[in-house]
Amino acid sequence: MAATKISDISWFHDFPPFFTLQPNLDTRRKQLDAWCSLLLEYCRLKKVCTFDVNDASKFPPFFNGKINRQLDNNFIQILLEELRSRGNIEWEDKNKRRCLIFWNSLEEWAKTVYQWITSRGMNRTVCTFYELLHGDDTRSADFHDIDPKLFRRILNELEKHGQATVFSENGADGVKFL
Amino acid sequence: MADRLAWTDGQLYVGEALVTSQNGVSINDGSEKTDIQKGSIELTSHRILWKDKSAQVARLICTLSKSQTKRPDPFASSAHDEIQFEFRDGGCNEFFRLIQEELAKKRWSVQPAKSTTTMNAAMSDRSHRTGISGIENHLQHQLNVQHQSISGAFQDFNNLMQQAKDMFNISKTIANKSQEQRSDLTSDETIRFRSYLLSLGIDNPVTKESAGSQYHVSLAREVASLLEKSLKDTNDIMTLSDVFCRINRARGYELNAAVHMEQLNLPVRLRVLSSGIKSFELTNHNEEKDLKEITNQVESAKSMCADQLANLIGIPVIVARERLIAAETNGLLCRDDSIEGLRFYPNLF
Repeated sequence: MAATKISDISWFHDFPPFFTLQPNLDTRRKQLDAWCSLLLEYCRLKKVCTFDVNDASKFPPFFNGKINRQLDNNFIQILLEELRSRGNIEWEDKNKRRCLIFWNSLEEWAKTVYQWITSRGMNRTVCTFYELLHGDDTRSADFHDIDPKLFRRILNELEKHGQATVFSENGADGVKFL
Repeated sequence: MADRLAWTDGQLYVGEALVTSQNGVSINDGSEKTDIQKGSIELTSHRILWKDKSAQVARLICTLSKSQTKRPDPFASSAHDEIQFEFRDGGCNEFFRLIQEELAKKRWSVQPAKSTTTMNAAMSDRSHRTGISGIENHLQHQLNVQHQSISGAFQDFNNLMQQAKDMFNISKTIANKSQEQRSDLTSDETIRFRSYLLSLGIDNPVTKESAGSQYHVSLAREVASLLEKSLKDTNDIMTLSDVFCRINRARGYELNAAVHMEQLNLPVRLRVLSSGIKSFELTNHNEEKDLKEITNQVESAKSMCADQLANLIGIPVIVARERLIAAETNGLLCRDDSIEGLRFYPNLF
């Protein structure tokens, strides 16, 4: 997975016009769709859950050295706003510098986690965040190694629906699935 | 005022220079016709001369008084206060402009640089003796000499104009003859010849005088017929500046008439491209087909910039850029804008 080339995710990444914001609005719509798909898939594969705008120039999808093209700041802003409007990112601060990335929606995540727990018969057990996120047992799970901030959001969502309780004991965060 | 005309043998004075001449000029006494019909009039730095085909010359003296010569004048007396020159073959405006120039230069009052020694001595005595006015005279003299050398420098130019005018007249004669005697030239040759004439600026150009209020409309027709041929050679589309250049060669007027073209169902129309540039194209020009072809060209080359397209199909770069943008607007192409420049690709989105 680490060796996946971005152009394997989307051939558009090797297409120079992909990096120019298209003035034709119909074309632009398709271009933005392609970018959003590419970015979310990239984040899912690499388990990228947070993004800092200051790191934008180093973010691999935003440039392609092979064809010598990169997104300008204006295009990056437009992309981020597009993702936000689709519910795929949430800004953490008012200045829109850091954001949380949702390649799955919160509902989808909650469902995924609860299904995984249930399929292993782990209801009514207590687990720590750490073992759920990084333990060997969860290696095959989608949520394995995701950002703790995101994980907490998912568990809070489960808590809202009465499917889990989140607590903290001795500095460690834990959850009991109901 | 025809009594101011006097006969002369046509020899120029020392220091007199020929400025221009014009054929087809008649002289009227006031507004009355005279026997002096359709000759050639010559403007020199000193006089206006007229001669007919047999090279007899009448001389008009630019003074206020009657002719002082002893020879009998063509007109003993005149009831009018003016003389009219009728320009039957054109050239009136130009002649008038040159007369005004000569009147300003007043070359007839300039003493020639090398006059007789007595004259010189008398002149210089006068100027040395009379202090400030002498200096003034000297300055005036210098100014006159300068005038002469400047007009001498322009003499060549005037000669060139003169020769061009002769060529114009010859061409016009031939054009008229070709109209009458069609059998002498084949229709191909006639057409070709007339197109040469057109680029020289003849073929009965529509002028404000001849067409009056219908000026722009008639002009539109004329421009359209002129352009139709040109446009076929330049792939159906030319920018306004290109057209302006070609039309100016033929007539030297503005192209306000262009807006009338479409209304008159002429074969050529004015089009404003999205960048604001105005261009002409044939009305049977098919936009969709044109854009499809351009897209095909870009596809074969994988990508293209405006320069490449311009070179490839022989249109101006400005127009090539417009075409590419038009294809992009229609969703056929997309753009790649980087430091390497603006290029267009087939729209694969």
